[in-house]
Amino acid sequence: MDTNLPFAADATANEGGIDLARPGQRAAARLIEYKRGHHVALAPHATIELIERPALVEVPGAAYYACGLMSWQGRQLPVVDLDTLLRAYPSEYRLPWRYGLVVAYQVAPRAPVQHGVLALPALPQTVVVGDEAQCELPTDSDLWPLIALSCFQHDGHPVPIIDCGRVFGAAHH
Amino acid sequence: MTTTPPSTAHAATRGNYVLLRADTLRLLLPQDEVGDVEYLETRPRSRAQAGLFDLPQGDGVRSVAALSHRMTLLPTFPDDRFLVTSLAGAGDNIVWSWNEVKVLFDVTLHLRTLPAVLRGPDMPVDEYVEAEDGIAYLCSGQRLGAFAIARRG
Repeated sequence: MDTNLPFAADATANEGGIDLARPGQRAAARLIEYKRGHHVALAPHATIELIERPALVEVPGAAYYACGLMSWQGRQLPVVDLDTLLRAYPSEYRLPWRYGLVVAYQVAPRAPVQHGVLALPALPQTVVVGDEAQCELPTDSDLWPLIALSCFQHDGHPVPIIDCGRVFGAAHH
Repeated sequence: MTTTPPSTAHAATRGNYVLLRADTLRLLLPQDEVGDVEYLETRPRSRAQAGLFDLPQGDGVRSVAALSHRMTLLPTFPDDRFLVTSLAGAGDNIVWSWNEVKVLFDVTLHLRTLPAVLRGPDMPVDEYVEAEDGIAYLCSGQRLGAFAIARRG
């Protein structure tokens, strides 16, 4: 399966996305389960394409959370396992990756749009959230304040809204 | 809005290189860092020192290493390695075994920098090229040897 996800071509990861700061606003969010029962959210326009069972090439000596490179539209994209990144070490109990979600990001306003891939164990879902759902970031990873823009409650659990520019813009050591 | 560029920088370099393949790992080293190619006529023997194997040669013995696709030393010598070369800076008394060795004369390599997010603290490669049969990483004998030998079991 190779599912095309909706994408606003002139949008960026941070512009016109999920903004819970505006009172009364409701917005769509792409809900991504990175480990069983734990989710992050992305602005829908930042999610470009979903690849089932992507072919990856490992990179010798890459960071512990790096899955490798994935060929996409004539270029090689970095693939990152968000669960491993957040826990700061590889787990033998992590769910197997099934999908590669191609995401778009910018590391700064008006910087070129770049692409990366999140390795996922499950299909993303789309949900609508309102500003009344805003909540504090979870405390189970020191990385949340560095990669998350905001957070909302969904089904009783906090769901950080992540900025892919912060995830893919630099190494995390 | 800025148009979408390739995600990695490009540079070109020209010269003589050797493509070395170990399993799915493809490496490009400058030709002057790679010794003569020899065929393995006898299977190397395991030894107590993990990751290195004994290769009888005349009255003596040489050490042979076999890389995994992650550029770490394999604990068991693979049946499909039949070529060995020495590598400058990768151990004076070690030869390295390969599935494939191909000399590329006067070739222009279009190098791409690996994305920053993938960088590990002591990653032995910084750049790669895309070939018809997959990615090949530009490396040196010194970085290969330091990385692999530090990770033997």
